[in-house]
Amino acid sequence: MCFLRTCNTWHMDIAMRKKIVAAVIIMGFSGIVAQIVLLRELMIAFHGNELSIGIILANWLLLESAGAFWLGKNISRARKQLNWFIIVTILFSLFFVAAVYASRVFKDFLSAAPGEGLGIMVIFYVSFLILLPVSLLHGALFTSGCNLYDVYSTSVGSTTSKDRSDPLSIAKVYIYETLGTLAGGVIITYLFIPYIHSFKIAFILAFLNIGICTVLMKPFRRSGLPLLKRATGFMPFVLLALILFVLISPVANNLNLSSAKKQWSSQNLVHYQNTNYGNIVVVERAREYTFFSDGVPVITAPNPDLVYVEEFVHFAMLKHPAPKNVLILGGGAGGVINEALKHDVKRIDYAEIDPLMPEIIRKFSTPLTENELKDERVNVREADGRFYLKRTPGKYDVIFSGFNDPSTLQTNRFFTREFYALANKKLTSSGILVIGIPGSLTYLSPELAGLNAMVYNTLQAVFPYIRIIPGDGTNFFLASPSQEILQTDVDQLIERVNERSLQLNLITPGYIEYRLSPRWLEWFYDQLEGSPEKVNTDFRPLGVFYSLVYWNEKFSPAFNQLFKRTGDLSIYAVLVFVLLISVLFSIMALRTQKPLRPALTFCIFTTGFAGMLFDLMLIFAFQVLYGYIFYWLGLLVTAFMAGVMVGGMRMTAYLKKGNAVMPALINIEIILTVFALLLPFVFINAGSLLTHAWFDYLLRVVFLVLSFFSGILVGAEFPLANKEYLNMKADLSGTAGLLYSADLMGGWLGGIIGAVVLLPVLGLVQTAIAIVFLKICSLFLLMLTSPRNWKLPSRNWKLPSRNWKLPQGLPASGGKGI
Amino acid sequence: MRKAFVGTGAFLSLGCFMNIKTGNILSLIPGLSAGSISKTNTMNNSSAKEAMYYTRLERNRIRCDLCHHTCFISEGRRGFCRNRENRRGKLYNVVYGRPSAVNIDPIEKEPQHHMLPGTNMICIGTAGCNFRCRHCHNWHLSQRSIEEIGRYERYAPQDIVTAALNLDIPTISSTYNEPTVFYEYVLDIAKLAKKANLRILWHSNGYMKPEPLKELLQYTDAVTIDLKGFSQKAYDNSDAELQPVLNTLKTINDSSAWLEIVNLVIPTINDTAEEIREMCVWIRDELSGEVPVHFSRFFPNYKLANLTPTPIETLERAYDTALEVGLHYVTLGNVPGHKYNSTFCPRCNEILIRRVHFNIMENNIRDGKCVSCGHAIPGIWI
Repeated sequence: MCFLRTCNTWHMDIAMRKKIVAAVIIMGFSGIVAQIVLLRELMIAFHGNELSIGIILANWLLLESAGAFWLGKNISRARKQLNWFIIVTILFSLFFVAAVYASRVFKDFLSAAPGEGLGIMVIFYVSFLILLPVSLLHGALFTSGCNLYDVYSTSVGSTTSKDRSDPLSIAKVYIYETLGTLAGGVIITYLFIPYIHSFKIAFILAFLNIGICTVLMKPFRRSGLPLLKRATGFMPFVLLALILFVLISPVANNLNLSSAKKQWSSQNLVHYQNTNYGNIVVVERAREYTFFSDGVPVITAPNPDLVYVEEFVHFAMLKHPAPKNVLILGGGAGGVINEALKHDVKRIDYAEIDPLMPEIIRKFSTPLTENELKDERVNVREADGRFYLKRTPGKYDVIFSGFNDPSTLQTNRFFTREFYALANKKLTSSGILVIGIPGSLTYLSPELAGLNAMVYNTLQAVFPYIRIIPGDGTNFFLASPSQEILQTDVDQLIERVNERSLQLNLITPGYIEYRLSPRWLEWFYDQLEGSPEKVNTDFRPLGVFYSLVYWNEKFSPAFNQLFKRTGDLSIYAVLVFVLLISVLFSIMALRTQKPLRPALTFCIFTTGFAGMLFDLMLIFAFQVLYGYIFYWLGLLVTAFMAGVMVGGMRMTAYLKKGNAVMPALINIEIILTVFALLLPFVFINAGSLLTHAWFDYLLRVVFLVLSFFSGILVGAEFPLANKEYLNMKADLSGTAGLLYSADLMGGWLGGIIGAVVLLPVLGLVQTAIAIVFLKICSLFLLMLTSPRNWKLPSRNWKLPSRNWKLPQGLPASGGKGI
Repeated sequence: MRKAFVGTGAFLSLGCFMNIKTGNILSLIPGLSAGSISKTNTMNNSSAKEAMYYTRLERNRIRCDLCHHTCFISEGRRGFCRNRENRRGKLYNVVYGRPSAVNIDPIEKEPQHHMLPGTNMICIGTAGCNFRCRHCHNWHLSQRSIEEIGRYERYAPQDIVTAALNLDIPTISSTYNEPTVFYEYVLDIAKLAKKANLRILWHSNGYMKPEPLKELLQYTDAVTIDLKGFSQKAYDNSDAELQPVLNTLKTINDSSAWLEIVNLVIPTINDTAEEIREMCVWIRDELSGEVPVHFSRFFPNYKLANLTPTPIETLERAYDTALEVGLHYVTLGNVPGHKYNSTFCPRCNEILIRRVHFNIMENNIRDGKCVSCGHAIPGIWI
């Protein structure tokens, strides 16, 4: 075996195994860090929405699974596998730096205009190409790591080159990798993102990775090797020194700044900052500041879009007889507060989720924003608007919802029936809730009409009186428990402008008359005719879907036909589809010689799918109930990962005792199914109880426990399936690659279908039902294909030595390549 | 169970077209009789109007001679504009008589500031366009074919003219998308409108070829041309070329129709001081200092959704440059409440027409002259 050449003594193997464990932990750590950093970078570059997150994540998982399955297997079969592992690790970390750079500058290579949005296809292929080397190599590291670990753990004590693969190797590597992922998730959330920029993170990662490589390759420094080989052996050390230099010198900072400026080409970038809520960029042009959040312009000061801010604020304020207490949920600074202050208000509460936003607005001060944030009547609340609204004891005369587009799960929460019901409760008897949504006075496309109809239907489910003011760019929906908003006529509004002696730029008597003319309303209702009569709810966020359809309409109208069709998707269709796939797969599996193998792959695939969806559902439910997700995203994912690790470890220990595989596997499948069935019911009524502090704390704990538990289920299955699979096939790296990529592919499908179609269109409950159905199918397939005697563990599984006997003529992979 | 299978059918037949119900989009115009409205969205191909200005080539191919793209269209295909279709060697305009948007708007919204201030106009628009502006305000209409839009009504040119007469609206405007791509419809409406003493206005990107342009100008009172910038770079953003537009401006200026120019100032695309100065100098030298020029503020829109809005300072600088160069009638648009929404007298500097956004607050033009100094103001005032 080749490692014999690189290792002097046997005891070194134990040291070596420890080093490999360290390398695997770093690999897991690097994986999650690279994934999150690139996700954020690409999100900004794509001016992202929920769909782009889905596409980027999906590409990552797809490439990683291809790397694990194809590249990793080949590397494991190569000679000098340790060298390859080192090379791949180094390449991975260097490509990661390159990928961060590429995601900042790729637009130079597209013929896109500055500030031009990108369509689905471009997002797909750009993210694919940028992630390609990084994720592919990272996937290969897993398979290769399994094999190396196996080589160094099973050879201890063996005196011949004849070796035995330990099926638990894969499980152990899986556990160590998860440990790394767990640490990475926590560290990037709490230590990296708020404090250091992407390039520093990338270089720190490179330092870690290349550092572990120098440790791994110690044996190379033996004298007696040819000069060239020794020189290559020193390469990592040189690289390590170089990266250290880059980290402590201003080079990394300069790279960050210059690439950021390139990204905002021909716009004068004056501020660039990552926060746990997103990325904030400030661009200056002719003494006007535009603030971008995740690449999307949100505020321009001191000259905002006056048509929008004046219409948004004054129509509602004028329709109220005496607005005193005003609440603005998001998007207040930069015009809206200023307009509201023109009325005789007592108090304006302004809830802004990202505490850094007001801070940065203050930093790039303009007369407009200074006036807004310094006024004594204005209280800036650093809180998610909805959570704030739930907790505030006060009632308001006018509530402005500053979110104009339910395109993300975060903003969709301000367009649901539950939110409207909450707002209704917090309004005074003649109070008004104001919503803005994209519109046009020329023509409403079916997509735009669908989005508007959804908002209208949802408002109607709560409010008795709704007055719509269709607009050129934004349609305003005014909702109230009082009939007054329908009654106030043009003359009265004009009178109030004079009474309150408002100094306005846009709104003149003629303009009020023009804009409030009933003909617009009639036209608007006509345009909505034929739109679906669906209601947007917290746990069935259709708004996200309609919004994505509308967004996509701009870029790929042809593709949209298919997209729109999925809006009509029913749970029955999904169930029949799942059944169809399962039956087809079962038929194919049963025709193979060892049907249990494809059954196990299917099982891992569906669990990967379910695991991703559990994760999504928990995150989604948390977001719905609490609004802020970023700090907790780290905790929830960490709890899930910790669960995966504990599940894997427990199961590995269980297997070590020689316990039976199949009964355990089938039990876990059953628990998974029941878990999926029960999960949504935990949250359905939680929202109404949240006003109690004790329930708040309890619920947070429940969230963590559920994340942890779903992790255990996912984690426990992997070693079981591996062991069972290896019982039939001794190709360790092949098995590791196959099952790992099945797990990832399941996650991939769960991520993309879950985030874009299942959760938004079917909602939480029906998505859970789909998972239940899928797991039942995999359970059936498993029972169908497993050996009849799985109920009698003692007979087959007590003699591990027998099971590990290699099939004749097939050398173990460990021996083959190493 | 049956529902399940229906559901599966829906799932498996992803990609088939949605059947969109057509609403009565013309409810805005009570003057239009319901009888002329056909509530169907299936295209009746035989009723499309044969197009003007094209050349038949060999093998039933066609060269379209309407706009400067000069599309070569093979049988069964359409031109770049999505509207002009080659059917067995004959070119048809598929949107003729099928407007997708018909509204009543103040004439200031066009913008058209020297024609009947404070009056309304009937605006019509269809599907399709011969430009591909990344920032298009009406992309739902202009960047789609009529089939993709699905919503339209059938109105013969006479219906539009009758509606204007019934509602006592003096002007008919072809706008929203590019009038060139529904040329035959615009022309037929214009001919009828002239007979009925109505005014004809259209808002165009200026990409029509001279011959059709001259024919349409015979029946036109005023034109607003969208000059997208004064560099090829600016026109790259629309997939077109600058020079033909400049030629169009000269042709219109030499005709009897009243010309106004609107320039949307977009950061990083066409907002340099040099470009704006060159443009103003060209207008002064090649057209006239009397041509009104409107600088408009850009806001993120359509695909250009992530760019900063135009700073007010940039617009004011453009305004100053234009006056300095010798243009007499300059205004700023999309900046409601700004003093330069209004038109000032080039001689006495008094306000001629005080505007807030597109509302007229004050009109000091009597008999085509400035009330305070008597300076003759060019335009269509009665």
